[in-house]
Amino acid sequence: MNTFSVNSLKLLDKSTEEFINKYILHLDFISYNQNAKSGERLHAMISYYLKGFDITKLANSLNKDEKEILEKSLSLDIFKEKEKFIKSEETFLIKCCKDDLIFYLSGRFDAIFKDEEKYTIYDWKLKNIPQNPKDDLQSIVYLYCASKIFNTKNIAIKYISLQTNQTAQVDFKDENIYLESIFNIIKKLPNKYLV
Amino acid sequence: MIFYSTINSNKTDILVEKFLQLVKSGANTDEILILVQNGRKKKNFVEKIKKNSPLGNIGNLNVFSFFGLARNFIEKNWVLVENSIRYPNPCVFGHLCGLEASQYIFKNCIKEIEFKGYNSKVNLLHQLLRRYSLIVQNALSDNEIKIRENILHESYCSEVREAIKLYKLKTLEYRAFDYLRQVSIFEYLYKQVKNPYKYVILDDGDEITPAVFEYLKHIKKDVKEFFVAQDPCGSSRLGYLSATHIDFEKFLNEKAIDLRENGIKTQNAKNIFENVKNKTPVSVENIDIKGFVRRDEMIFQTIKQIETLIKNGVKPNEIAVVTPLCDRYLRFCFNKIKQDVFFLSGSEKLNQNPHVGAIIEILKLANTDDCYLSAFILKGILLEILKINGDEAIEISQNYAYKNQEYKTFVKEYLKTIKNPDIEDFLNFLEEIKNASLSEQLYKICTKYTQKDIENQNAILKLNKLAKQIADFEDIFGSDFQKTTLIEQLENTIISENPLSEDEIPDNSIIVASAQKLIDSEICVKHLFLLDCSNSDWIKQDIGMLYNSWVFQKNWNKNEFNSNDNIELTLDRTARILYKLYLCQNEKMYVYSSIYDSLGMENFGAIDKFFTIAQTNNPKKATKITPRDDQKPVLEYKSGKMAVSAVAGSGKTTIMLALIFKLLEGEIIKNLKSENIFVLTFMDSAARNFKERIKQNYPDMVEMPQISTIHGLALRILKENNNYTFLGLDNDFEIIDENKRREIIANATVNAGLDYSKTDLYERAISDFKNDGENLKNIKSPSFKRIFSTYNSEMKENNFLDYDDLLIFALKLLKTNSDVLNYYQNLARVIIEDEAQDSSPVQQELLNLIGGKWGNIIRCGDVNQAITATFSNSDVKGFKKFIKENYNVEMNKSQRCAIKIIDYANKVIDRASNLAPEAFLNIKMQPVEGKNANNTDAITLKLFEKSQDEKDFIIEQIRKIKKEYPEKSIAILTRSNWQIGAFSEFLESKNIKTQKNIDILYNNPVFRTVLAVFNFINDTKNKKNLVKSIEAMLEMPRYKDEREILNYIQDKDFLSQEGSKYSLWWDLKYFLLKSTLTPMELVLEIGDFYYKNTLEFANVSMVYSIVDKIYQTHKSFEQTLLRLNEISNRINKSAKFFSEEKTQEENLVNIMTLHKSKGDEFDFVFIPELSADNLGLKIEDIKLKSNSEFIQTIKQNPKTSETLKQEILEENYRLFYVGVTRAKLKLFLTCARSFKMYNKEKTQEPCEIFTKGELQNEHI
Repeated sequence: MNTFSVNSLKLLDKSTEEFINKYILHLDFISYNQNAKSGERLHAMISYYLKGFDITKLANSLNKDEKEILEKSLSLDIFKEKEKFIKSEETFLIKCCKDDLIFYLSGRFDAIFKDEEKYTIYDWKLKNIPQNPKDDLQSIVYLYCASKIFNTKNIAIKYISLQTNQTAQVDFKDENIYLESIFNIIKKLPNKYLV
Repeated sequence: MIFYSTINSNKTDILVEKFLQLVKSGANTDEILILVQNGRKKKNFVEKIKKNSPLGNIGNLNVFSFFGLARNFIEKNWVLVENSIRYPNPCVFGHLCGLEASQYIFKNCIKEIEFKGYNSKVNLLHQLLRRYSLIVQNALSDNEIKIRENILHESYCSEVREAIKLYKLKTLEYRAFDYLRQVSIFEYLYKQVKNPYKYVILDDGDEITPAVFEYLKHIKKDVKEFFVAQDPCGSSRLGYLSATHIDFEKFLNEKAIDLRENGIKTQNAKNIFENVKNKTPVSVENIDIKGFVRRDEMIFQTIKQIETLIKNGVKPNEIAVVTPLCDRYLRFCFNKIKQDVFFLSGSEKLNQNPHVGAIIEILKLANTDDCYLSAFILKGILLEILKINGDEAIEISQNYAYKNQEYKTFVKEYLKTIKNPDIEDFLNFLEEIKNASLSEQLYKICTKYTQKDIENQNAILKLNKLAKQIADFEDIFGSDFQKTTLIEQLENTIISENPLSEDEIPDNSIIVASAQKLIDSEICVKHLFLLDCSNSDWIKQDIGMLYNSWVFQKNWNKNEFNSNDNIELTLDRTARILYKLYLCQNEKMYVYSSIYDSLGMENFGAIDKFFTIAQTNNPKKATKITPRDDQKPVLEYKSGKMAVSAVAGSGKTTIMLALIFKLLEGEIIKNLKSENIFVLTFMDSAARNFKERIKQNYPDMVEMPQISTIHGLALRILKENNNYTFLGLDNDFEIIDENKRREIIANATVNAGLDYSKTDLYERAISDFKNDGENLKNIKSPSFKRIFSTYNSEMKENNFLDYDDLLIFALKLLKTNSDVLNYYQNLARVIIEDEAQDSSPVQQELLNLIGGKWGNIIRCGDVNQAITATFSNSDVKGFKKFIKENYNVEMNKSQRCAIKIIDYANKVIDRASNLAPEAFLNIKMQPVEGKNANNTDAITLKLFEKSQDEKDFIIEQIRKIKKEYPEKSIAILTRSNWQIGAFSEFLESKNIKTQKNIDILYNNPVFRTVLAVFNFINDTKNKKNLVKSIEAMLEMPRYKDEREILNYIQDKDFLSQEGSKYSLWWDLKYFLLKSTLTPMELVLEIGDFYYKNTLEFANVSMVYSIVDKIYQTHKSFEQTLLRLNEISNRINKSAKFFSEEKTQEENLVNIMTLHKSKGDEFDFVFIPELSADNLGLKIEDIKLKSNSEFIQTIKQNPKTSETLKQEILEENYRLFYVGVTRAKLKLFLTCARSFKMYNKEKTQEPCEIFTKGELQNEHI
């Protein structure tokens, strides 16, 4: 195991045993939860929209609530600034090294916008945005990785709740602290699994 | 850039390096497309990039497998697809599903379509999907498909087109696309989208499919540079897997850089490639070639060899085994190795894992209230899932069996009456989840009852697979399907991918894989074992009725397709596979084969014939046989036709073997190969005997002559090179055994309103009707017409063939297809037929056809021993004619029988000349000077008043013989099978041990033990059942001191702890608790427990196969057991058990029928109960059985009763003659004037020999 996502790091932080069961021994049951699918659909619709696809027909597949949320979301200011849009659903893979341990961080940004020299990573949440966004592991990992990808510290991550339109923004702070936090979680994994 | 490379050339490293250079020089990773053959290679490629990249951003990697490319493309551009679909009800995501959902759609599409000229309906869906796969992967246009339909003269092509069109539309409507459908959508999509790639890196360029290559052609104009790794001898996935050989030098207009190393290994691999293509055996130093007789020997030798390697320091992951037959038997044997063994092949059903099977049953219970359950399955749930104490679980499930039997009780109702907190909780839980969706139910059941521990890893993987399938269905069809129907479909889903994902191959295991899997996974080891090399499954030939993988190739450019095309193309692919396999080893390759497969069927030979041991200067020669004068002419054979009429005991087998040895050693016909010698025997045992003796004389011989029964040869003709396709048969045809055939005829008989007991009548009649080639219209019997029609349509519907079809179809093929006929005519340079007097007209026709070119046909037999005509299709007249018309060697000397017995046998011939003149040819047996016994008391003819006197006399004589000649063999030969049991019982009651030589399943020790354990497991409470099982178990030497257990079970419940002083009690309890396994797995466990390291273990796989076949039809342990008990006492024709060479150590008295005794010899022979009814030797004594007359009613030229009687009379004489000539020292012929039946004394006429004439005179 050498590659970690935000979700896997969160699980590792919470319980090493659960992490091993799920990601290493594959002893986890996959749940096909219908509720999660609503979020996925809305994410996809926004991404299609940002990429410039015609989503008129697709919108018919959404239920009433979903349609309302989508309409409300797309009326947000950010979607009016298409010239600032760079990419959506962009996957990344970052090679890191700390104390001689090489590991990789992977993930996917919902959308990236650039305003003058500042990059903002957008992350859509169906319901709630993180309670403590500054210390949230997602902010840490995403800001660290984005700084490596765009080679700049002028970066922020912005959470937007699609249901409530509540937002929170975290600006990039300190690369070393970020790496340290991530590393401390990874170190919870016994060495034999760190291949 | 093009790199010619093998798997040993670090090609991936070079391509990774190229990728990094591109990135370093400023290329964006988004612009680089990396294509590899499969998921495992993708993972490998990505890991290498990660490892070699500098710290920081690696970028967005576009590394895809060939199929992954299509999937990713659709995911990224789904909106375009959706907007092009004209059906309403759009989806935000396409359902990129597994095959199960698309099969469900396809199944519904073809329901209404009638496929004219296509016979098999069983696997129609499967075959259509295969055709669709070929169309998609070869990117065939409608026009290209039409051209191929014409080449193959497909009568059903419009129906196929309609079905596929409908399927494509339906998948669009549902937005349900499996991996194949994804490829066809991709083909449409990439033409609509701007190409993002400027660089293409292609690993495995030799395994690319036309569909992917078409894409590369499409984007070529935008691509700045291609980097292609290709092995010019690669393309192992040619054919059905649709790889295509691309000339990349031409495509890119540049020269390839050859990275292939020049060492000996590469050279050897190339030699293998060339030699196989040219059908020339190759000898390579580091290849160890071994041929075994039985498959189990081959497997055990492999295991032994592996254990030695490990002992000598070879690591498990440095060893791999490749076989096309990764069946349960092999798995079972390999799992006994102490090291970890990982099986990288083989398909299995989800419910074959006991835990998964039990969870699926719970899922069913959650969705139905009124269901019954097999007690066997209930026990599985209680033990495996609810973890209820063993004894309690057994008690509960057995009580349920009783309740269910008596009152038809629903299982849930029954469980409600049980006071057990776990069961109560279980029932409440089922109630709670009742209304949830299926996937939620499954999730909840798993979370509650499946422990997340490593032992359950395999079960969890499978349960997740099941969950994914259910989720697919829920996504695609919403609630538009029945929960229970879906569960039933999914539980039978066969997972052909093992492991479920390629990245699960462990690092420290011995790998057992199929050839393709090993090659695809690029697993390189030090020691590579290729097993089952003589099994035709090694050379897969994908030319089914609906999918001809060769003609459906993108680059097919001929106007016709014939058998030679298939042979050549298949050979080419085999050469590529063997080339790649050789490159997968670094030290030694082992090529192991066996004459017989696990079921005792002969292997036809496959890749074994491509490897040879380097010739030594002094090849081993067979032991020389010195012939007698009358035998000499046989060994002086040069060419042409020759008859050998050999009397009983004349050494026919020995001299035929000597002739085969001479042929093999090239002393008769120059350049004759083993494969050019065809030997036909009447019985499988004779074929085995020949093969084993050849093997003993030439231990290094890998390719054996073709030695088989006529059915074995017919099977080869049908199967080899997929010849059956030329008869319009689909490749899923199944040859049914006698049990299955009887079952179908019995159903047809009962459905026609007739009594079940009439089944026997129709079994024979149907066979005769088929062999005579009669037209059903001409048959007068309406019941026969009805029964035959039902039988026939059942056979066709299921694509079954019976043994008669096998011969008829093979003959038809040879007569109608000149390519196939030429193939066998060229091959069969010498044909030797044993027991030619029993040859049927079909056999004789077939033999003449394949011997037509060279004309070297040798037929051996004794017309005076033709004893099968009245109950089989044999025809002695053909052999008589052959003798008359050709050079005939008369081997009439025999050293077997005492001179007096020879005299008596010759008198039988004389006697018959008056009463049954056609019975014998006047070939008299003569003694060999100074060799035969000359005792005066050789013949004893005794007539008794009462049958008890007769039996007492036999007992007295046997005791006397045993006392005087303890080493000598004794046999009792009876007229009928039922007499065997009666005599055996009688002798055993007098403490004389017997051996019943009767081919009933129950006589096989493995079958008997399995049946006993199964019956025990099924019901431990029924005393009668229990005693029977225990008695059968007590026959095993290991329990010989435990007979007391029989008393114990009379008084106590078997399961009570007091039984624990008996080892049998522990052993049976062990199996009782093992009963969560499937019946087939249980057979293997029982077999391993009792028969490990014995010859009988070879028979375990046959019992396994019998159980498997029955279980497939009857689906439950209880029903399977019922059938097993039913067939246990029937004559066994379904399994070809192996048996030890007969030993006389214990000096058992052999009891067998006269028919069965043919070919055997014994010092003392008794032929008792020779009444006129039993063996009529004058015409008045012959009574016709109802079936012989009935059979005549379906013949065009029926025989009169007189003729039939005369034929029976003739055969009775010959049967008697056979019996007489079994005796070496003394022959006892006895009969009684009366016998007891239902406590009444009944009189009977003794047969002819006791009344008058030369057969009686001097001996009384």
